[in-house]
Amino acid sequence: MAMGQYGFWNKILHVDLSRRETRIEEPGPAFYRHYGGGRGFIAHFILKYVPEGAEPLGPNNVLVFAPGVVTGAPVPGAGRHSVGAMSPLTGGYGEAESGGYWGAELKRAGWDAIVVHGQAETPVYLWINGDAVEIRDASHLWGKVTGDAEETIIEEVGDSRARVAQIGPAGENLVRFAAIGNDLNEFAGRTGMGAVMGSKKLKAIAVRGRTPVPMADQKVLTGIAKWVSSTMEQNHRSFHEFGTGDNMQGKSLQGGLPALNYRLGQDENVGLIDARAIRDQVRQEMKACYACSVRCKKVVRIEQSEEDAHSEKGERIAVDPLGRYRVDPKYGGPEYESLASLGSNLGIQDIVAVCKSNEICNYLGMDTISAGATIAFAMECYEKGLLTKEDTGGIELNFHDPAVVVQLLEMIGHREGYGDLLAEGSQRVAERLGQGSEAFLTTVKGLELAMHDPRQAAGMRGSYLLAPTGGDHMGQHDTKGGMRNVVGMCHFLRYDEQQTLDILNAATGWGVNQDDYFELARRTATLARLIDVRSGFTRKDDAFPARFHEDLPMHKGVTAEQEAAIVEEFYGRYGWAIDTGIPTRTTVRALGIEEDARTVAESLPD
Amino acid sequence: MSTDATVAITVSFFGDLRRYHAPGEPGPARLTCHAGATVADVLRQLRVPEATDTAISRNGELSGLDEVVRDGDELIFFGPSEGG
Repeated sequence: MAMGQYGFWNKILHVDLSRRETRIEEPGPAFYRHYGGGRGFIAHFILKYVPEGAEPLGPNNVLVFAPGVVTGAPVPGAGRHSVGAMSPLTGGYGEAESGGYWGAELKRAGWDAIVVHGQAETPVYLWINGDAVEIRDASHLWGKVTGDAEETIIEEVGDSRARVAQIGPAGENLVRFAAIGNDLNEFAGRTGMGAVMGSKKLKAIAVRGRTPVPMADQKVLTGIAKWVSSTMEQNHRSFHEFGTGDNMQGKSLQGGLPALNYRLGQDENVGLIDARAIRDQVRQEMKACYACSVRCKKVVRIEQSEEDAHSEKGERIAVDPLGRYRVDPKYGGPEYESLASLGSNLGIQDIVAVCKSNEICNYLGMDTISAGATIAFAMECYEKGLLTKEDTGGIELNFHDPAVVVQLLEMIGHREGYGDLLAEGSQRVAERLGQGSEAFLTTVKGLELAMHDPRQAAGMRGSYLLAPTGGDHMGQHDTKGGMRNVVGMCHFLRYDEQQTLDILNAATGWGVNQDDYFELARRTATLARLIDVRSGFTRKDDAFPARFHEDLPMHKGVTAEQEAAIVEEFYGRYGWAIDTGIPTRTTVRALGIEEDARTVAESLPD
Repeated sequence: MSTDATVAITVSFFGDLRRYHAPGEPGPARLTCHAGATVADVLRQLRVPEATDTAISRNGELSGLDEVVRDGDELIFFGPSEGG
């Protein structure tokens, strides 16, 4: 390690699965300062290696596992990493973020990122044990659900402290919204990154590290970590006690709760499936991510019968009163997005079934948001008579029916029967179905919106319209949220702007200020935008589908004028042409990304 | 102060706003405020900043800040929704 090099190792692992080769890139400290991690790394490597027009599920796509310079720092919220590639769901820039321990473990193993190239002929997994990298056979793991695969991998590598990122059967089967899970209960869920991993026949990446990433100022980080734990009641009480989903009744009262494919905005029974119901009825414990005292991750456990509901420790275990489902605690529990997408938006008020649906998505490796939203879309088509039992192989796609949802999720993950079409995501189903079914879509750029209705939650409009990934709630477009994704910091920590900068500077020693931080946000967002431009997205794709132009009972639809105002303000602030949304040459030059932009240079306006 | 000059209500905070409950107290909290107090007055009394983003339930119905609270009211203040 060079003197003064903090927050990263200057080591990026490239793995070519077609050639079964690995190599190490040492891009130098300036690279880290320029790209930061996450979206910056991903967009850089896509622009560098993926030819224009490459098939996302073909050998020319790259899959980038990208922690950031803060990932692995000993401070709450530093357990995040991103995974990115060209998206098989949207056809544009794909990225999803995840928490847990895997990203920090990768950093502790001495790696800043992994870039996976090519496609293996037969299933493989990677075993990264510090410096040592092995490409191992995974034929015996192919087809296994995530829990079984992880158990086998941990046994094979002989280290119970190894961390595993992996796909389930959904990724293997190229479900276009397949996720990449890590630690069994954390997911890089959005935009189909699991399908890209499946197309590469890469089942898993197991990693074990033993060396903490050097930090520039350990004292500052220790101080902030202490501040989080000593102010838990004042700052993170709800996350600590409930995790996400404690506000669903409020969202319903305000008329912004996704209900029956985003048509109602309200569900007076939502208290049956919110985070309080989870705590009171089915929750076993709360778990943490790396270095985090907030512990906001729910773990649920449900047994099928009273006879099975005995615990080694004598604690109370929930039982499905109808004796239908067992829900394994190793798969964690549903977050807000899952409670809404697999619950209220499908008219499901059955907490056991929602937890089961969440578990299925987790062991098959699917994004709960897109899975739920695609089912909601199909159910509305069925309700309106655009789909019939003849189309679905005899399944009645009725809202309010938990058994159908559970059945469909299994069928989607395995691409069985009608699930094979639903595995394509709602936009492709609409294209196949025609008959005006696009009126029921809830997608932007092909990605199903997260569970925050933009008619009520006006603050989400920008994220949905301008995130390079499509209808994404992770604030990819803005300085605050987008930057946390880049450097590897959790959105849920109530750090103010100064604390966020303090963490970044304590990790890296860069001494950056707010302006530098904003420039990094603009640079990484512009890189991702260039990929979307290259993929054929235009200004007209920065728009909501018809559903969100319609009125809700309590809220007006978003108007075209409102959309235009948001989009144009953003284009102006980011230095993209107001009429087209394409980054200008001046902007590209000012951000120092001319080399990244070389393949699209000719299409850029001045 | 005579009892008819005050009203007794209960207040709960959900989501991010739970931090306005006293440490260790899960809520709902009992509160006495002056007769004629509005929902906004209740928030002021509890030292919740004015600009706080909240959905308000008053006896199960959506309420505005300017509604006058009555004896026995149950107020719930919800924070903005998180993702995850």
